[in-house]
Formats: sequence, structure tokens, C-alpha cells
Amino acid sequence: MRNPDNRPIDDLVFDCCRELFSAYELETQPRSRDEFPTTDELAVCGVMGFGGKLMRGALVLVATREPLERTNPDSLGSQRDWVCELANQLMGRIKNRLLGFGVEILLATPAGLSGVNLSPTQSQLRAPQVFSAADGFVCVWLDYECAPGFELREGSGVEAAIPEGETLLF
Amino acid sequence: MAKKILIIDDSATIRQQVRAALTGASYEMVEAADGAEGLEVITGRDDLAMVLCDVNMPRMGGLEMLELVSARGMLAKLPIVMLTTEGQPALVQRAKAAGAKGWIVKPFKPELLIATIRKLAVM
Repeated sequence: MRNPDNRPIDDLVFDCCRELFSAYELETQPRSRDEFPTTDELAVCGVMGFGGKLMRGALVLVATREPLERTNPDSLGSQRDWVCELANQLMGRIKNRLLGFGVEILLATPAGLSGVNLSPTQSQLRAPQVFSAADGFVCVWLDYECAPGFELREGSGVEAAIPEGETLLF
Repeated sequence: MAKKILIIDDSATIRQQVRAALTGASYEMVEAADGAEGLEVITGRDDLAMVLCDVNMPRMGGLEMLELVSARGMLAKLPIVMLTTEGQPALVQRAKAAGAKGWIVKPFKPELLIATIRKLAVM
């Protein structure tokens, strides 16, 4: 496995993150990485591990309190549980898009992480995506390795995934 | 008497979201946090009208649970619909082959969830 410079995956993560929050009627605006909030403002992280023949790694979704409160369907519920579910839904979207490129991965179950001084490394290869949302911030990054020779090629996918929000009855 | 719907999901927030939708539509909710707990509930009672079940959960996943329920011949009287972030056709086919009645990809719209329950719930 190697760490590729794979901008298409960054773009895919960016799109999936905006679509996810849009589904919960929260608009997100891309911001500079320099605007990533100081860590004592952060609430909790949702972390989702994944693995497959071509890619393996983890997704981390971090948010300040405001976007979590605005999107949480259970206003009295746990923000930790909710950020885990959001990470789960975001990773589900990413998995479904990757299928269109012929990349199959298996997902672990989400885990919550809280603490101080939690932040991504300032790597050029796996840039964290930073968004402003509901007077707060959302930050997501996909930390991954790929198999030698791996490239994300559109149209090389298997059957398209069922879109988010769809209901199929058998 | 209100029909009882079992929701199996490891996220308490999702269970609460389903509860809010069901209560508004005069259904009663029974809950379990993973496939193993869901299997216990299903085998331990005979008053369930339908099951909504996540796929990726700790201890026992939803598809494994579905296949165990199917192997015990319990699906004829109990419709199970998968409610998940997964949209991979191979997983959908696995659920269909095991006898699931439907597949919903999260996030779900409460009105569509209730329409599905109205269509499939038994008793």
C-alpha cells in the first residue's frame, strides 16, 4: 500500500460531505485550511475505518457544536452518537461513489473520539476539507493507503449503488 | 392496539428519529442496538408487525441476523426492511435472497418510512 496524490478522491470526499449536510438542510461553505478552528472549540470526532483490496484507511469527521445541534434529529440526544452516525453516513456515501470507480471497500462500525489537540497533519497528500456551517465548522479527512498502481478511473465501476434516500421494495 | 415495529440500529439517534416518526403515525416501537439483541427480541416475542434493521453493527450485523431469522423460517410472518447507509448492489441482492422485503438508504424521510411501514406491516 502507498499514499497517493489522488486529488479525485479529495474531490469526492468534498462533494459527499456537502451532500450529506445538505440532506439535513444545512448549507456548508468551503473554507481555507487556515480557518480550521483551534482544537478547544471542537466537540467530538466520528471515525470510520474501512478496508479493501485497493484502498484502506479511515475517515475522520470533526465538527464544532453548532452544526451538530442544527442537524441532530434528536435535540436532546448525544452529540457523540450523532457525529458517529454522520461519519457512518458520510463513509456510506463515499463507498457508494467509489463503487462507480470499481473500488469496493468494507466498512467498520463508527467510533467516537474526544480530546484536546486533535487535528489532522498538514499533509499535502490528504488535505482535510474544512467547511463553515451554522456559525461553526465541519472538518473531514480521509486518511488512506492504496495498492501499487492504483488510480481512480471513472467508468471502470461495477453496478451503480442505490442512491441515498431511496427505498427499494422487493 | 398499536402495531409494534422493531428497530435495530446501533445509533441511539437513529432509533430516536425512527421513534419520533412512528409515534406520530400511531405505531409502537421496540428497539435493539445490534443484530444479536435484535435476534433475541424477534425470537422472544410474537407481536411484532415489522422489523427495520441496520446493516453494519457491532457483535452481529443486520445481514447475518436476517439470514439467521430466515433459516428459522420466521420471515413468512415478519417482514424485515434494511435501513442502512450501504447502497452496494451485492449487499442488496444478499438481503433480497435471504428474504428481506425492502432496502432503504439513509438518510430517510419520515413520511417515506411510514409509507413503507403502512404497506408492509402485518397483523
